[in-house]
Amino acid sequence: MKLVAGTLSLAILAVACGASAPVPDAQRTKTLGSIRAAEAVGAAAVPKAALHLKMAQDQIVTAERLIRDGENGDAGLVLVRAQADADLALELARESQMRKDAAEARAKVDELKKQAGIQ
Amino acid sequence: MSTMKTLMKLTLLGAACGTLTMACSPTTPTRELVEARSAYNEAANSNASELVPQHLLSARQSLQQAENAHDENPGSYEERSLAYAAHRRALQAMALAGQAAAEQEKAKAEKDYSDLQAELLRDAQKKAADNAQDAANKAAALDRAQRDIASQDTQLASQAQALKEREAEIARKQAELEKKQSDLAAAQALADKERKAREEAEAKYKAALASLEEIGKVKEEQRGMVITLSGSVLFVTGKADLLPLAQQKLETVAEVLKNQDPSKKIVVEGHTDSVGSDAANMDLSQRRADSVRSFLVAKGVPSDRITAVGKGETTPVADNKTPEGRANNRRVEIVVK
Repeated sequence: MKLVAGTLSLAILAVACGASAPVPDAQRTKTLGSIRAAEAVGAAAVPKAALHLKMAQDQIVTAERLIRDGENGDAGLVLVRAQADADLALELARESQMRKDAAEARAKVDELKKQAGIQ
Repeated sequence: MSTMKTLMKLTLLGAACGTLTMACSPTTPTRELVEARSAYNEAANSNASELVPQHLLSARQSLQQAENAHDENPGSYEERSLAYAAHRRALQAMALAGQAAAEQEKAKAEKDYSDLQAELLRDAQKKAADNAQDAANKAAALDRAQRDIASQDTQLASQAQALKEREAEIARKQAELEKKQSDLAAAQALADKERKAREEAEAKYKAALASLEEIGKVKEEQRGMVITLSGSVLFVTGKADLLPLAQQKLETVAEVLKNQDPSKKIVVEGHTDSVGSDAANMDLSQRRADSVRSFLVAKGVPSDRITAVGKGETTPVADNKTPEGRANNRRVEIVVK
């Protein structure tokens, strides 16, 4: 989260500096890393996570277009948005998995109780 | 704890800045900023402050950057972008709180599972122990029952043996009884036979005695039964040879004597009258007694029972002066003692 805050500061600084801002390669790398992490945990299979993953992927496309147009400052801000969506997709997928694991663990308890004849 | 304090300070600072911003600039915040504030407030009021305070602080910092952007350049793309990201960070904090809660729930479920397994294992072990104890009790009871049965079998065998011995004893006694009954019957038959024989002998004896009384006198004296035969019936005068009639009569006497008690002794006594010398009379009486004895022995009277004695004229039973008296003195007496 600290890294995210630092990245946001750099992006803001780039925007403040105007059209002469550099290509946000570092932000793009981090955002792509977040997207891959979300994909790796199966975010595409979790409806809410899949929505944000899709948004992040779409925003990557937008950012690439802006970079090609020389709009590096806006591209950096779009990448910030994309990374936030990707990170959210990652945690939503993990939460889903964790809830599923917890439910399975509880189901195991219930099944054991049922086998033992405990109400 | 320090994280919580920092979070509270930032919250107060944000509220103050918001108030100041509204006071200094009446510019309406963008939709993204409004949504970011709402999401953050929701996160702050959820269990995220307790479960993931660091993440909630990061969300707050992201919101603050959006607020700063709004202050510096309201409605800008920068404000909207940072507010967009802050909104996601607030949702991310709540997702992380959800993860932590789920993890806690999972850990609790796993602990419950482990505890339940342990409890079931203890129950199973106790049940197994109870079953083992129950089985041991049943085995002991069975063993006792088997011992009781064995003991009863032994008693029964002993009783059966005793019964068998008693039956054998009864059979033996029954056989003895039957034998005794048989012996008794035989003895009874023998006794009957003997009684009958005795009765027959007695009848025969009585008949013989009656016939004897026809040929002589029979009387009981202190020395025994005395049969007196007249000498004139038995012998020619002065002789010791038996007359044919005398032999016939002595056969009757012999028959009587044979049927008497064999332990009784018989003495044949010869007697004469006083005519002639004493020595001649003694000799004649002895020869006559011997003659009678010989005849009786010849007719079956045991010789060891019978003796012959000549008495001569020493023991008269009548007066020798009269012919009748002398006839009575000439006699043979058979004494049965």
